[in-house]
Amino acid sequence: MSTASTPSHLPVEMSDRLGPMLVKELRQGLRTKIFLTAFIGFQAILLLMVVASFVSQGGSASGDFLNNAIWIMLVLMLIVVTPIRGQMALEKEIRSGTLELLQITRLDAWTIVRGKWVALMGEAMLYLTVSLPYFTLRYFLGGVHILTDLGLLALLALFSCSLTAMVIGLSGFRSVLLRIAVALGIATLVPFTISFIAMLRSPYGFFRTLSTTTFADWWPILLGLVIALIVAGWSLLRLGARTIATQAENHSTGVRLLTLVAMAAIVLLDRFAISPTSAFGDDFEAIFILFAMMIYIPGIFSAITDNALHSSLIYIPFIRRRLTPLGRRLLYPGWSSGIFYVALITSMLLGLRMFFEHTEEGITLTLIILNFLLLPAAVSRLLMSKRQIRLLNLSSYIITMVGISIASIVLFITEAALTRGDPTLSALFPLSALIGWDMLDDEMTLGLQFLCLLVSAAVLIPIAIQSFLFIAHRERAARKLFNNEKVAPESDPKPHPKDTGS
Amino acid sequence: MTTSTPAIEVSNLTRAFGKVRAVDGLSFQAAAGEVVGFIGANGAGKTTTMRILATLDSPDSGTAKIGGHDVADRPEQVREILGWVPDAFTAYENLTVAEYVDFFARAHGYSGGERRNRIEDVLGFTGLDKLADRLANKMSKGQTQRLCLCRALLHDPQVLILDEPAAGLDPQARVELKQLIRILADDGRTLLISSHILSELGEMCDRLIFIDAGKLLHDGSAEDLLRGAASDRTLVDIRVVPGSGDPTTTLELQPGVEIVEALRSGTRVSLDDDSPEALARLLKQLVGSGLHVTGFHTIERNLDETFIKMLGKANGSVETSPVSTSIPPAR
Repeated sequence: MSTASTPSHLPVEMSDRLGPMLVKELRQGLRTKIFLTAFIGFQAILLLMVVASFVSQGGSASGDFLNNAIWIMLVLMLIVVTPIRGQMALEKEIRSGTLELLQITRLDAWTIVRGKWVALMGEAMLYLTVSLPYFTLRYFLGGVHILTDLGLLALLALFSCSLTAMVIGLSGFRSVLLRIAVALGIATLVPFTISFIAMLRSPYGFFRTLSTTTFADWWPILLGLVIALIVAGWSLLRLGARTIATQAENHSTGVRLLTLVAMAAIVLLDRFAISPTSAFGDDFEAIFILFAMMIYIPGIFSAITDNALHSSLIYIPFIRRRLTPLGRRLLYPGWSSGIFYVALITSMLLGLRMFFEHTEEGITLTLIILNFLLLPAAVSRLLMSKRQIRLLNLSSYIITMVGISIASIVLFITEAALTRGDPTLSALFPLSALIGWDMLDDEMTLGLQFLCLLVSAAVLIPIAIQSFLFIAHRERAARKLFNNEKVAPESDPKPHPKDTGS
Repeated sequence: MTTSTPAIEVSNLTRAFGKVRAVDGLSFQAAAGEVVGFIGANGAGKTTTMRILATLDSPDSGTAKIGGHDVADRPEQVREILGWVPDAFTAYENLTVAEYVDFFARAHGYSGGERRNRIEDVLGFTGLDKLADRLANKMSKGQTQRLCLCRALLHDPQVLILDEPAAGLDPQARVELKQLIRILADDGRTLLISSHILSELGEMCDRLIFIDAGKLLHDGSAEDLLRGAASDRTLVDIRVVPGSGDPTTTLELQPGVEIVEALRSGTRVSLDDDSPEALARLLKQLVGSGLHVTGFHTIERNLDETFIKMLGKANGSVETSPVSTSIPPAR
């Protein structure tokens, strides 16, 4: 190939330490009209607020006004603008056909997704950085608790990281319903986050008690929240990677292992880290159920909706590590192993709750959530043709879930009206059982939810076994490949320049 | 890849989408340094086969190998030696040509000065160095296609798969693309090219592979194909002065002659004997019957006609009738 005689205008150099995807996303993202408008608008509004606070009021009142303005603007930038920018991240690559060009490079799906996420986080950090002069200005007006504000900034940044990861992870699905749900979810989070920040910044708030003895009550919640946010964000980001991955990539095993470890950590925190004399009493229990669900739901969703088949290549690491058949069955990617994984993790959760002598309500609630996820899987499997039985159909799963939810709500309303507020059948279906929680008999709900779980299991487990038998064929091929590798490791036909270090 | 190993090796490849078999037991090979044209009607299975070869899809059965590496079992090794130009290509927004190429160079593992040299090389080769500062998504179709080729060449692949690279290009861009392909072929690379412009493929390719309904119809050189078609029957256009008589009656009486099409001032016939003696005999008969013959020449079959004829045979029908040149009169 001829070499160019005239030097071309090469792009401004960016460090090789930054990943290719990050470099590309930063170059693209920082030039988009949305970012430029949001960035300039953010600065302009803050500047306007500073001027307004000095002109109209004075002293600590103007300080509070400016404080509120900065926090509201930051929440909007980090919780709304940044995640929304990631809403089309993967779908755009799929739709335009550029994803295939990436797949034939050395980039794997995780590198692609992670690069997009880090780039958006870079933009979020820019918003944070440019707000610092305003925080400094606010400091000179007095009445600022530095530790509180720093702690809150860190928490807000973590929340933004997790939320953006979740949105990017879900951006690979081409469901309009999901898009609307995500947008509504983000919209709902804004007032929640603002009031959450206001609560934490109050004189009795969490960060102002750091130096007091009540910190012993708070730290498990903080740790639980950090674990839940990280795991939920990471699991959904991995789910996004899975939606764009080739059959030779495994993005499931890591999520399963992390979910197991995080669930164990949350249970341990709940059991052993909370002071029995805590002033918060049962509130801790509710908060830890919320954290557990933040970890449990993405993990279970990922396992149930996993691809049915993968390339033989992904089984090689399992063969190399000499995992036991049971270990392989649980950690292999694929929805069939996912069903067994769901069974294991849920049994562990229920077992632990029973072991710690918790109330029936906790167990019923866990069953309801499990059935909410498993019943649509069972129904959608039943609706599939025999030919499709080994294949994933995520869309049909989500549609079935929405259909069952609507049917449950209709059932509950009808039954409540017919029985004059004394429904019974509603206890069988997860969503109607949840809505009619106060009206339904506790023992009956528990029993019917167990029945619902058994029905789902009766449908799913035989198909999972059938699917396993099919996977065994791939496993044999993988073993053959592995043995071939051991006998004669194939060398790269043309060593890549990077590998030769030239 | 050793010289004895075929650069591309497809064996009994099958891929179905639901009930439709897009590729059905397809087998062919391409030697190192060979330029192979891949021809088929829309939906014949070309793109599916090419996507499997590019490790973007998996076969249901059979094997596909690039440089001796199975695309299903060793996709990473295949990607190291394979360049892929898809039929539809969209460049990223808000990136210049140089930044676009820089991104893919990084994605292929190049770093530092080596990356810069490589980018300059491929931009220069594809003639995009002067457009390096232009936005990649604001270029003409021809320039975009060159950018796609530029990207595919970044990691110096030995095998290139080009799906409809000339589609939508203007004549000049087509000529430029043809020149680039020729240089790449002279450089010893193996190219598998699909296109609808068969005459161009005939000029560019060492071999042509025709497929239909996912099955192989023909595998050989363009010359072999045309020779095969020519030995079948010869087409002759006969033109007479209007009003000097109807040649149809005379022609119908000649042995081995079959009327194919009525022209405005003559007829197109098909002969089973293309020897000069047979042609001279026919001309003599026409002149002898009092017709004022103004034109008498044989028509060489081109690849398009051969392809259509081959499709007709594969589908069990007789040679496709040409479109009528006259509109039936109103009743």
